[in-house]
Amino acid sequence: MSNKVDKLFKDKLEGDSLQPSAQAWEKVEAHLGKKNKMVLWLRVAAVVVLLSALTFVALRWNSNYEEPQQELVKQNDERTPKTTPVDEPKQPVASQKSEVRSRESGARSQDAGRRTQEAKPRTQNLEPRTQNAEPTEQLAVVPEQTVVSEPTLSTQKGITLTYSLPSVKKPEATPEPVVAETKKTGLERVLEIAKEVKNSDSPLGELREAKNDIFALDFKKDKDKNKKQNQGF
Amino acid sequence: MECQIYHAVDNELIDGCKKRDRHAQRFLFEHYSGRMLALCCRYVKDRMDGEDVMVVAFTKVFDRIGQFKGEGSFEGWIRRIMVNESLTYLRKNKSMYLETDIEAAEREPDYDKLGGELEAEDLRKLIADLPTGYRIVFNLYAIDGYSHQEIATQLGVSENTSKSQLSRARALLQKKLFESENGRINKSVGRHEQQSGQII
Repeated sequence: MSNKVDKLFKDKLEGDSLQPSAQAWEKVEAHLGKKNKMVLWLRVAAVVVLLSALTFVALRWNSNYEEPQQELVKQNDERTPKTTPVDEPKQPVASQKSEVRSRESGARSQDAGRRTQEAKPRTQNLEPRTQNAEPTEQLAVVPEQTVVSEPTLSTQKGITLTYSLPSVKKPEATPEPVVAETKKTGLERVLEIAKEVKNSDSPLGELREAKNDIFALDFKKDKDKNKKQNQGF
Repeated sequence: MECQIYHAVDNELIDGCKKRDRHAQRFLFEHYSGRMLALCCRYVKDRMDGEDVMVVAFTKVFDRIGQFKGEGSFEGWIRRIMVNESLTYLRKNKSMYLETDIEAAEREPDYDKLGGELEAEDLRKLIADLPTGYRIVFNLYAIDGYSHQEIATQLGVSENTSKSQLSRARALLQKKLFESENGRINKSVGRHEQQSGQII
């Protein structure tokens, strides 16, 4: 009985048709036009974004290659005449040791304790000669150089005068899995030095801060740790 | 034979529309818009609103035509998009269900005779007068061939709700049909019998 109602309506209405107004197609077309334009603009936007990203990356690469080398040249010029004559006779042992250290990068974590111990007496030796400013300056420079990419490593090593330089830099050069381990020891060393600087003299505070800032750039994750440890000291 | 010709035309049209050929799109629109407008107006009472719904649905047809894989009839595919768009419109703009209880007619009208007498226009009006919920379910089930399960999914109700809505819609339509039949008889014969569609 109900199906008869259904059938009546279905037969009459399923194929039924009503004349749409003249504007109906225009409306549809307007929508389609919008969509097409949207797609076009999206494509243009995508291309623009891609191009700008590529140029940005290219510029970054270029600057990465150029800047550090320029800096290096400057630093080398400054340092080589000043420090080499003074330092070399005094610290043959230290420079040798640093070389040795750079060779045994794998086993460094074990040496960390020994080395940090060594660091103390050295600076103490230096103090009486009123050369305090020079080594610490170099120390402060160290982390800055760690920001620099690999190519600097080799040139730096050649003229290394500072004790901490090779060992701080090495962790940067070593492959990923090792980094986690070695970085810490490097950090510890730097912390030791930072401690010395802190304890030794007040005018070095600025340098210390600058160093910490630069350091924070490089080891963001460890920043907090650093702070805590610093406070602890 | 005719069917096959239509099918071939459809395929060409579909290919054209997939390439976003404006002429093909226009032709497809002209070909189907009349029936689709009638469909939308069965759900959406107002003619202008129905046309707006159809326009939006057609833009979706053209957007998604790449998704039509040739399974089932193309018209069926378009119809579904139209139905979905109509339901979306109703969902947005009106409460879907009215809780009025409908009384069933006692006597059956003569459907064969009614079929001859009533025009599609009259039936459309009868459907348009149904409460929204009944109208939707009756349209979906009786005319557009949805199952109760599909309706339940579409509307987010239980199958039983769908069934009860359908039977109430039928009862209401039946009553109205009977009234219109009686009205005609009464006009010609006179008021020899009081309208006897009694209430259960």
